[in-house]
Amino acid sequence: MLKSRLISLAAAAALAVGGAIMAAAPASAATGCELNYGSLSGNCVTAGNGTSGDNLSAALASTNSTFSFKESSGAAVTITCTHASFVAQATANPAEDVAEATEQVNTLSFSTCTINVAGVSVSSVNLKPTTVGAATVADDGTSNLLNVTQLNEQVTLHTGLGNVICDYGVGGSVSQVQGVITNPDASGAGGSIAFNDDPVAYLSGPSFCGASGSTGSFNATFGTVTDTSQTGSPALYVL
Amino acid sequence: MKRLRTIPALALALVAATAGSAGAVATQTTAAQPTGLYAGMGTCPLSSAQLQNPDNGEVGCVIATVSGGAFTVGGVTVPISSAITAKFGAYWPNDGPSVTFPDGTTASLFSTVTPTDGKELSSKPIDVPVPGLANFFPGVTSAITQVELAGPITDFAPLATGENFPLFRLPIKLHLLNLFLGLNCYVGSNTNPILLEPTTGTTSPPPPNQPISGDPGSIAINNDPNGFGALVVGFTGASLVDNSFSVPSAGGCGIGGSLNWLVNLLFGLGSAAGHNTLSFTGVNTTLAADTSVSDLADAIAASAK
Repeated sequence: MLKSRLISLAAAAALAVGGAIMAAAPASAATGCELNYGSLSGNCVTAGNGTSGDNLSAALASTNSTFSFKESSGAAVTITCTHASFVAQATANPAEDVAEATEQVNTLSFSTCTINVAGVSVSSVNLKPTTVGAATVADDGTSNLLNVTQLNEQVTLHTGLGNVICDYGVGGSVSQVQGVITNPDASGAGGSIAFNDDPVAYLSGPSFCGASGSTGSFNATFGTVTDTSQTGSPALYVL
Repeated sequence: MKRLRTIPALALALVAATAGSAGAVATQTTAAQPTGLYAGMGTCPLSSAQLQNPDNGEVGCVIATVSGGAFTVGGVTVPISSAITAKFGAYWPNDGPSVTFPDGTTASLFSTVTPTDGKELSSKPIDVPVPGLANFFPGVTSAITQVELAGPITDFAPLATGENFPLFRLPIKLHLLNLFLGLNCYVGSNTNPILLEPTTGTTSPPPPNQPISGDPGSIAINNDPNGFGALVVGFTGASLVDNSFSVPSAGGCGIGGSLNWLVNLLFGLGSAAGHNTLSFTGVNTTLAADTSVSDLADAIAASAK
């Protein structure tokens, strides 16, 4: 069941999204791993220590990403971004069905972002400095899932009163942020990772960012993940 | 007997005279007043030179009310039994001062401007019983105390809400009204004020006081309902604390200050830092901010009815 699945991974960014995952597998041109580039039965993505494995990248699909949270007063705030960049490296890419592939997310940035509050602008959305994200690939029997299990995404808002730093991610009542994976077709197109109303925890920041223990809601669809360490940046497939 | 009946009346007269000049709310003009998000901002000094300065990066109008709390000097605690209202204009020059907190948040430090009616701080007098006396005759067995500003409010930092940092610096003096103390009895002065620096975070007082914490309450950021560019921020239900301030000795009490010693003795003045505590509770603040003073003025005017 798992073997026949074609899954494409796309990295999600901002606020609670984890990037792609996996990697693994034995060296060079090994096959039969959970994560493969070029085709479902292609070569294994090379896993490393978080900085030495293959670079896996993805971008937002044509739709925008949104993150909604509530101020401590209960008023809803939505941040909408039209671009995102994700760079991750596989830290484990075992044989299919042996174990879960894992990945370290080193870059997770959203850009061209707006917020629905006049007088406030989005300065940046990035991984909190000196932190990395982590994710695994799971299978619930129906779909392959991208589970982001470690994330601290920092949103910097500029207001006329100063700059507000809001941190969101995995913590508190949110143990993971989950996306549904779809593999690309044989031509390498059409892959995606979809996040639909996924809860994201408020981690820290002034009360404008949210109340203690609160969660926000993340929506985004990412396109095909590519292995940019390989010639031609072939698409990524998950067995 | 006749003398005793006269004393309370005189005391009340002193209170009435002082309240009328210091703490009473100004009579409103018949002009339309701002409503909705801008309620209470009719006296914001939008035409002042400070707010009109083209070098400003941000200007604003502020109105804040304190509904309760307490003021402790040494061992004497005075509850804040009536509302205190503060209102003022605020401005922050381009490249003006700011503070960065450990979490990376930065807060601009605003300067303030007195409102057009001159009443930056308004409160009803507080009846403070003389320690050890039953308060049969207010103004005789108590000091009717009026809180007055002893200088401008400075370093107003709205984004310090939730941080271990003062929201503002508030210099005050306490005007004590008592039949025997005369009309010029003060604790604190313009040159030696009681300097309050309350925070919604946690204090770091000198001993023997221990750290205490306020509460940031909740915050709401609103768009102007008529499409102007003003940002209206509402802080509600906050609690502010300060237990690091000192309280100077009394001055001007009795003829030639002859009763200063008695006021100091009864109320434990001057009281060094570490022995005094302030709490403001039920604090609600509205700040309307804009990069353009003309846009802000238009926004406030558009809300008037």
